[in-house]
Amino acid sequence: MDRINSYVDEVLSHIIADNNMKKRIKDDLLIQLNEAARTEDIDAVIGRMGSPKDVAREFMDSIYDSKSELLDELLSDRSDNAIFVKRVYEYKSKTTIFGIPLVHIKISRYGSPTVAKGIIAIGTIPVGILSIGAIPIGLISIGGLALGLVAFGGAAIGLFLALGGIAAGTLAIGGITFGFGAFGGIATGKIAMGSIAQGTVAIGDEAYGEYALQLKNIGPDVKAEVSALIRSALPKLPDWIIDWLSSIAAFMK
Amino acid sequence: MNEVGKQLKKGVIEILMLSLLSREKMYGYQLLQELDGRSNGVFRMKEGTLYPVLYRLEDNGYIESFWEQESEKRSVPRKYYRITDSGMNALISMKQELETLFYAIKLIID
Repeated sequence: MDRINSYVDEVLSHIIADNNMKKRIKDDLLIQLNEAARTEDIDAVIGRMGSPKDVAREFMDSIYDSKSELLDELLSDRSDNAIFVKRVYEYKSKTTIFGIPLVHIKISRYGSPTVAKGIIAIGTIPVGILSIGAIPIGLISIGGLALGLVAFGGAAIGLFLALGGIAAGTLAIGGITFGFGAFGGIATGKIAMGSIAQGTVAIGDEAYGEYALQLKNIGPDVKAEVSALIRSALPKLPDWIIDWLSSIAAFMK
Repeated sequence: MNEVGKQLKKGVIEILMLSLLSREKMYGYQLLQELDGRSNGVFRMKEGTLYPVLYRLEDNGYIESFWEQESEKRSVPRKYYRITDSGMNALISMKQELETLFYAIKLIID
């Protein structure tokens, strides 16, 4: 059975055709070989059929009436070989939710960027609930330039949270950050904490703002000092947020 | 067989298959054997030639495939092909065309 399966797989590896055709060929070759193997030695049967390449050549000679038909298939999206020939690799799951594919992967190797849309989208420009790729857009986005509710990336823009080399969002964490709460190397925001911080409340090695506090000037009880500073700048801010922010400052110190 | 012969064979293979299947249902290997045997080896072909033709005929609705358990002794069912009504009509039409073609060729060659 293994011998038959591996022979058939090797034949198929040499055939250029759409998935439907390849499945039909696989099913029929398996039926024929298993049938023959009941009464004959399988090696003899395979020997009579020919090398996988020869068998593949026969199939393709019969499938394609002309060279242009073969070229059409090579260049179509349906072919398994698209990944080797075309610039785009694509996979779309049959499972859908409200008509949207559960998984859609579309990656262009070079040339125009392609868009993948799915619950889980992966690709050059993926758009989905979970998006992973070069320029992901989604609820949770992970990638080069990420846009989303929660974004992680080289550059990230997150409505709620952004984490990245350059990050912007309600809460931004990273190298260079902008946001209501900005934490990072260079931070700019309503509440900014970092090596260089600029904002209404700024805490850092260098701090610029209405309520600024340089780390070197903070006493032993960092948390308390920072809490007090934030509370005076933003008295309406909930206590748990002030607590959390001051814990981060204590950690930075 | 030279290239011309090969092309001529390719051109009639669908008619031959429909003709065989119009007499009885057959499975793939059986079709190969019948074509070979009845033609004294002229239409000896391999799976790579047979199956794509079967797929074309099936896609056109001229034949249909089905599984059948031959006997209780044979536990594994076989995949058979049989001609459809549409296939019978196509076969009649193809035979007429073939006759016309052969007649015309004969007129030129003789």
